[in-house]
Amino acid sequence: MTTPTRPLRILLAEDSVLLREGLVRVLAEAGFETVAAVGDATGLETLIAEHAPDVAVLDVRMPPTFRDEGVQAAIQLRRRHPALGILLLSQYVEATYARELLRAGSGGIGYLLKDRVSSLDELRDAIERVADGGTALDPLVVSELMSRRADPLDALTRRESEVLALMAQGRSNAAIAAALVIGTGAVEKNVTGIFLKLGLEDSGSEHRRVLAVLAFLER
Amino acid sequence: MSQSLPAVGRPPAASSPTARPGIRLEADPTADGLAKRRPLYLRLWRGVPRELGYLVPTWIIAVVVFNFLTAAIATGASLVFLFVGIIIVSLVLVAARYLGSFELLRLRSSGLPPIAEPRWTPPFAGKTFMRAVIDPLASAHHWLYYVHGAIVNFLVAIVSGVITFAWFVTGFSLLLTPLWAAVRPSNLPGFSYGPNTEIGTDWNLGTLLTYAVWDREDPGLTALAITGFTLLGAAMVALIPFITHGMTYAHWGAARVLLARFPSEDMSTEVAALAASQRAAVVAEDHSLRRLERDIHDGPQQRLMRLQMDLASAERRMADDPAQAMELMGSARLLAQETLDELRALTQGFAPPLLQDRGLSAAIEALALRSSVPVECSIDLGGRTLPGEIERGSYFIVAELLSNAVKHAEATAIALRVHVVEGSAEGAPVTLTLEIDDNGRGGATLVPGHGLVGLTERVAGMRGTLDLASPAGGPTRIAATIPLPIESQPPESISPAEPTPPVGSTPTLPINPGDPTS
Repeated sequence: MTTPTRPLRILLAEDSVLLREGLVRVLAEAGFETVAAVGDATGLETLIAEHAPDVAVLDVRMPPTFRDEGVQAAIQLRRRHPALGILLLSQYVEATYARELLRAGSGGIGYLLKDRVSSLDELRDAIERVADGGTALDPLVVSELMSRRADPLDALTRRESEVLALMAQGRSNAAIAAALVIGTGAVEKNVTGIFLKLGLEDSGSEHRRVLAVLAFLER
Repeated sequence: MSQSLPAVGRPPAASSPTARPGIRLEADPTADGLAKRRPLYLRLWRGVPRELGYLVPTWIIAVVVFNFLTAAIATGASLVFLFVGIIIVSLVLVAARYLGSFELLRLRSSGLPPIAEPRWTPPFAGKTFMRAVIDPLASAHHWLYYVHGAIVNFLVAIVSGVITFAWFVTGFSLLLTPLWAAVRPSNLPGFSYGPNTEIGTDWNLGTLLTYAVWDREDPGLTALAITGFTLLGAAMVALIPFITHGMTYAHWGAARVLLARFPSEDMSTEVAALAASQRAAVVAEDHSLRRLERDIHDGPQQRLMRLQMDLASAERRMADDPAQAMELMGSARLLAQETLDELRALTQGFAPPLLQDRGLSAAIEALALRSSVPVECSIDLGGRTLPGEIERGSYFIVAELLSNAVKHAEATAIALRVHVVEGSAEGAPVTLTLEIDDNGRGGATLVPGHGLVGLTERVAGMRGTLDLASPAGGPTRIAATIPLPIESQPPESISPAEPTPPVGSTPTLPINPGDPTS
């Protein structure tokens, strides 16, 4: 269908055979190369040493206990391999996990609902973002956090709220502009407005920007 | 307004130490140790006013009750062949029951352990005339209460009254011997009655006393007699606490034998409480299963059927109408997405993922963080891993409490405490306390139609109790106390149940790097 932007190398850990096969196919369609696909998180280090993948795509619940193996593995991988992009896919999203993942390192991490995989563009965008050291946070996590902090967010215009949500997901100004079908200049203006109204400091990196916004939402 | 719901699920009253012997033994040493720091003798004296407060009215009450019950039963018995006598006897038994209950109430003030009354039914309410007459006649407890009031307690009261009264009078009189000797009543004006020193040649207490107070022929013997009587009086006064305690104990013992609940009643109460709690749990589970069934039927099932229909027609049109087929595929994908969303919402309500993955503390912290009203959260499970069903139940209780505080009470600040308490007064060795305070408008009640009623059912299902204090205008405090099973007592003794792998997943796969599609 679409031409691959880069041939990124993917390591996949997902315990359900049904979904693993589906993911391998979708990743291939998106133009990525799946170098290894496994059913648990126990041998990831060996696989990384062997295949040097660009991005690890992990399920959250995996053997042996089917609890949060994926989250634990992601946090360890994040510490040991700063250059590796990590994307967690899950059937549910928890703000607690998002918080832990974001704090484990400085970027290159994503946490998405498995449902998002049905949109090829969304999946490709998220994988490329984490491979570049950016952040990809599921809109559901962001909206959950934003609904909690209704008070100060009331001060924002509707456009600014939309921009804030996309920003918290880890999107760049250019991506926000594309998503909202407005110019980059308009996005920048909104971002400045948001940071002014919420009393935040705009830092250069997108990951740090996400952290600042999330820290505010959790305050 | 303060309501308590002890009826269902509360372990029987503290008066049944046999219910959980092991725990009692563990809890008692500390309590006793505190009390024992005061010397035993002083403790006995401290009890004297309370015991006299019980004993003195008892002597009057016991006689009055004896007279009334005896006369009344005699009246009834003499008329028994004219049916009306049966009614009178029945009424006397009912009266004996209330008199006995009154006696137990007074005994409680004496400082001795409370005695559990039988589980009475109301004497008249909701009964036919014949039932109301026959029930007391057929009840062993009524007859025992009669025996207590008309015979046993009267006899005990005579004995305790005579002994106590004599002891007090004699003890204090003798203690005052020096005073009598100094005053020499026969020297007082108007006190002309002189002692008869010619009583006889027998030496007895009376002649000794006379000698000490009036006759001073032998100064040595006089001094000896005065000292001796004073010391005897002092000894008797010193023993007063044992007398009052012993006499009170005699009344208590009679009541314990005749007025107390039978041990078998405690057992059946326990069984009834268990049954009620189980019923509540079954009802709650039945409700949630029905709701789940309906939710699945109304939501995901309908969408999946429609999805199947759309995919089938897309398949049919693929060849001759690809555009239409594409459109159908698009809407099918949307349907699948909606189904997923619905299922996620459903499972979230069933068992929150975080609770399963990380346990109660993490799940409650996340709940508190998610709340739109700031929640000050204090969680201390003492390093315990709670049983799964208690974690789940507690999670939903906290969730309901929080949402109640936010929605109904319009609170702006909430404090939440989740603590494991050891050796609480409830009779259970270890309890989990879920306590929430809010500064909302108060006035919360447990009447049907209010959200809190579902909560009581849930708490009762866990054999817990719910306490609510919510005056109009606030603040509101709601506390759920849930007994923990004894097995979970030593920390880390229970490993969390391993969740079964979901259907369709593979067990730990050998890593297979060579084949990416394995």
